[in-house]
Amino acid sequence: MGSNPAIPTKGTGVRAVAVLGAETAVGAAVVAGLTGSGFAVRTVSDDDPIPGETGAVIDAGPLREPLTVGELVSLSNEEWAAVAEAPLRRALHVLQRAHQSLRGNGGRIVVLLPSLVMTGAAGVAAASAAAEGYRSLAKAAARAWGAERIAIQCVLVPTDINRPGLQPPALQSAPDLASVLAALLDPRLDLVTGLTLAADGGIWMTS
Amino acid sequence: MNDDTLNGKVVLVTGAGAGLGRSICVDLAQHGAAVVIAAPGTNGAETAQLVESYGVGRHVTADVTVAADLQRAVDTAVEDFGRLDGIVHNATSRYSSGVQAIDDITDEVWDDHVAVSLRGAYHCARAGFAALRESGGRFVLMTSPAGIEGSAGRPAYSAVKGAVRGLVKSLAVEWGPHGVTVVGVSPLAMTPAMADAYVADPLLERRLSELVPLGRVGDAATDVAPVVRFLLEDGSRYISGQTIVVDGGRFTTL
Repeated sequence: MGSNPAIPTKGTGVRAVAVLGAETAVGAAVVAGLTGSGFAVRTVSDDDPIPGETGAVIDAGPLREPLTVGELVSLSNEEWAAVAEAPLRRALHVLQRAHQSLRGNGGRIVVLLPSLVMTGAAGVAAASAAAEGYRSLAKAAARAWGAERIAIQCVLVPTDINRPGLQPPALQSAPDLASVLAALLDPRLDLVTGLTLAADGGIWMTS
Repeated sequence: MNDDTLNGKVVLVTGAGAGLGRSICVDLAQHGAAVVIAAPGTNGAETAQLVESYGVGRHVTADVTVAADLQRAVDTAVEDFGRLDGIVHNATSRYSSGVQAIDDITDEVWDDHVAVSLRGAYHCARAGFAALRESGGRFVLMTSPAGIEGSAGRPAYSAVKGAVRGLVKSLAVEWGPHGVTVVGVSPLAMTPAMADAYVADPLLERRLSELVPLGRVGDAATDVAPVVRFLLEDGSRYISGQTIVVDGGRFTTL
């Protein structure tokens, strides 16, 4: 493995990762897993700046509840705003703050999104709008910031959202999302950006 | 051309005052639909004039960011024509063609994109669901290549057009049991917004004509509106949850 000028990783002495949404179950598992693997993990709230020495930003915030609020036509305007519009605006602010942190040195941004919300399910239309909007915005950012050696990926993770009749995941081993994320921070993935990786055991295999 | 594949059907089109929305309205009327023309400005009346030279139209001054305006447009369809078979949500922010870096997006620009494209879709859904369920109708939402591949220069537009695609997927699952289909359409077409984009990026037209296998940017009236019409016809009743890409073969992706 050669050295990577973009991402401070294993062997360079700097493996600093900032995690947003660390209070979610997935976020907490990611923090524990990456810390156990030797990464220096800082948890960052939505209101705090992301530390400047960070090499990667992981956002588990989109996994915050509630994702399911009921059928779209039964939502109050306030519920719609809270589940669709506010998370999309948050996505913008997270990416802007991540850019502030990573610009100059490059780095990686990984956005965690709920798998079945992304592929469609009943009762989550507002959350689906926010999640797919975030993914599209992340791709826009990946295009804009590639010249700054900032790479951005989206990872789809399982949640308790269900779609009746759907086949179970092909792989049903306990998820180790931290390992997936560690792999995405590997310098050998230098050429990868704008990727969407379904780390859900293989629910849909349509791409 | 004046066949009647949409005879007896009633379709509401938002953003119908100009560009692609106007082309869709005219095409639908040419094929027998009664068209409710929802537009916030006076150009909706001009679309109505055009539509009425081919068929039946009703202009409703309606801002999609205002829920009551959409409800009034739906009520017009039901009260004047007795039904509503389809909604085409075509309205998009006046900032759609503006180039802006992610770090420089202002609240005004972001809010307008969200209000028109995304909240407007929500308002359409809320206002139209009962009538669409009654007719086994269609909800067609216009999205964009920017909502699929991301646009470095138009990130806010990318975000809301992607959000519309997310809405399409889950709403299709949600409304399927009610017999209502939900479909996205991603066009590459010459519209007033595209003309503005050409001005902002003088090399864009040449790049696109090189990239698109058919060698040109599509025409709103002859390349895109007929696809939207098809999605409102009986023959497309089994299409739902998809984004239909109408781009001359530009996307040949996984």
